[in-house]
Amino acid sequence: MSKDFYTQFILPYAGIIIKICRAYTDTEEDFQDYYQEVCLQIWNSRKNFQEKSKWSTWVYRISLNVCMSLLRKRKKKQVYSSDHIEVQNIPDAENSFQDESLQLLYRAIRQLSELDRAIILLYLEEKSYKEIAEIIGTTPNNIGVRITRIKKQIKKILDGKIY
Amino acid sequence: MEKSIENIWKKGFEAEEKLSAPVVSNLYERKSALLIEQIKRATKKDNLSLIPVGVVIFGILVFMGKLLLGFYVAALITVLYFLNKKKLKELDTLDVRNSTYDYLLNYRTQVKSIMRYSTWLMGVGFPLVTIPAYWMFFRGSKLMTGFKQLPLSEEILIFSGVAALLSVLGVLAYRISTKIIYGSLLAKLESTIEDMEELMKN
Repeated sequence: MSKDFYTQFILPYAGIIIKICRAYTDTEEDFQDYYQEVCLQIWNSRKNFQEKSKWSTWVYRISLNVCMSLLRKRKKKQVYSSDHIEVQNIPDAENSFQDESLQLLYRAIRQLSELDRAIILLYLEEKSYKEIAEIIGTTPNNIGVRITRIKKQIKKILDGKIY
Repeated sequence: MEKSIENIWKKGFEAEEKLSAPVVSNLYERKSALLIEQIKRATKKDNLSLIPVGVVIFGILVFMGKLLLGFYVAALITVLYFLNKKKLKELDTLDVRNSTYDYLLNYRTQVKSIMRYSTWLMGVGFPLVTIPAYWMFFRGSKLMTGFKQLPLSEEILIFSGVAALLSVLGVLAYRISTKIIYGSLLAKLESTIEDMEELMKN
């Protein structure tokens, strides 16, 4: 990956890539791996980018796809290894953020399903239902229903922990 | 009052310093290591699969009463197993102190040389060692008696035809099995090298 490409096409979106990667990882090491993999996939898929959508939409889509697929692979590996050896406790990504409420919110997001994490992240990034639907591949109505349900779920997980 | 998740998100990230991007480095190093590991595992598994195949063929031939042929085929498969093992060991001798790009290039060269050797083995070696096996299999049969009564020129013609057919079949079988087992891994190796070359151009 060229430095120019990274500076021009990835770095402006590093914030959202970081936010997404944090939602799918439990440790700093995993976070670094996911971030690198996302950057690599954005670089690899740059030739497939058609200017039908915005570059930012493309970055969101790739980041989410990479994180979801890495998480799925990891889960599979854990299921497999749990048949053979005792699975180690996965440490929570403590201190990933300075703000305690944000830390708790992230912890709640990490308890959601892969797809729900993607939807709520895009919602919190103030993407429109239409844009979220375009990235996820569903209808805006469906997104609206899901967001209401996810928010309820997060509130239930947090259950008065944040004031 | 309870904060909304939208507020937590907004306010939390306003003061967040940890949003600085991690350094992207050695992007291909881990990927390459993983790829080489996958190729190594596949080659090892592929070679190990010769053992059960040898045992099964030996069992079938012994069951058919072709004990000599059984031993012959089992010996051939054992030799093939050790030859492959020796060749694969050569891959481990590549200098890991080279850069990832150089290492991958050397690995590709070595893999291609093993593939050329294996193609030669299947195209030339396979017919040569299989023809005696046919002789052992058909020994004493009507087919063999009939063959022996043919003029020498026809015997040579049939012998050459069978050898050529076995050669083509051997190469074809090797290419198909290589494509199935290693196709995607070798394509990944190629695309990683291409990506790294493009990266160096920039």
